[in-house]
Amino acid sequence: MDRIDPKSAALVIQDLQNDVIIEGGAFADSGAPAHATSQNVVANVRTLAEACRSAGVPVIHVWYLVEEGAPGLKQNAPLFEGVKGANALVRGTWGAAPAAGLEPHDGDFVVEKMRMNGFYETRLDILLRGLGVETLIISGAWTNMSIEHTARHAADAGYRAVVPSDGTSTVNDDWQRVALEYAMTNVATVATCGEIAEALGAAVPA
Amino acid sequence: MRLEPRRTALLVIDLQNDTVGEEGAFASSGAAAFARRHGVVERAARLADAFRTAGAPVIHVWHVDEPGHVDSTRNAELYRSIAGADALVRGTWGAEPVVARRDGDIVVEKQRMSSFNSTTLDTKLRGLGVTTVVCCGAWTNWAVEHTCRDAADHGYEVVVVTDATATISEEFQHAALNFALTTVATRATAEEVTAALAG
Repeated sequence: MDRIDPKSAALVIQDLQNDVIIEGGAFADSGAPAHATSQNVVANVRTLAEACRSAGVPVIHVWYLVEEGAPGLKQNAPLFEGVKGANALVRGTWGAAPAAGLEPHDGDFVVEKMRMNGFYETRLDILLRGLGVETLIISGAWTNMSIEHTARHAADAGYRAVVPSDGTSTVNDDWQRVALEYAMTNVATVATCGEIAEALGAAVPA
Repeated sequence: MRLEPRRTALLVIDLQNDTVGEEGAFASSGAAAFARRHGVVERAARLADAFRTAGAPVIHVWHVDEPGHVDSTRNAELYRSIAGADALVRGTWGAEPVVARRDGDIVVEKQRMSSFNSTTLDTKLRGLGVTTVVCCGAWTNWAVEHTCRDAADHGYEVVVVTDATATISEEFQHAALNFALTTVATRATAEEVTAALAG
């Protein structure tokens, strides 16, 4: 892939929270934990995040958080009914915490949201403008929900969107394939975490 | 499914000569053939008539760039391809709609994938008191899907019309309609939507 200037890039780690991708989480029945495991998403994203930090690329954690009972989470789509119905992603709970290994480091940023799109009614765009970001690397889960919507919005907002094929996970390989091979066509560049780190000129930790 | 006409708007998205026309800028992508094979334009036009008859708003969303595409960025292949093909330029045949605007219809222009980004759509929907948006048009996996997702994030109930949407191939149509949109929108045919509106 084309070189990415680390001075104008940022890494988003979206929704890699226990309820979303870990066994025992609220959506474990969906198959998401197994897919996260088969994608090795936690380790791959952790490695990419370390490479980004070493290259001076900002790391931004985007977390889906609701208060107890999900007040204000309008129940207008099955996805949002699922979050409330499963009592998922409630602030302060284990389910809402980042997966082990993906805790924020000093100097990282955290953005909270309660819809699919990481940009919608959040400080993400303001933050990216302030950081001078032009290329946005969007990792996390689930590929075809939050990741895809955020990548589409990033494109609409004028960013060059990059989605790591092995730094994202969803409920199974079919859904992953549809997101990466169809939806992201002409919208985002799809590459592996290793290729992205190389394009950044970042030292990949052993 | 029941649709309250006073609360439901039809979005006719990007049904323009360049996106679905036989001589359009992207005809070689398969988009024109797909639209013809499935009768998408005619079905969308009939659906718009059904909305007008029911007293429900019809909103045309057109992708219109200024000449030279000076108002568009080139950050994604989609926008580079529009500029590269010199497509959807204001005042050209390619930018003209293929579903006619009638008196009382509303038009929203956009330059991005989502009908919500950099447009007055949300303001208009709120002004109209709309709580449900019914999306038809092209292309299913780009503008239509992004608009459905944004509508859901904005708090609208979303219906996507499975047989009044067009893209470049059956595979892309399947990928758009049968995965992520199942958690975002209700999928219905034009006939089902028309019945729900009357019922």
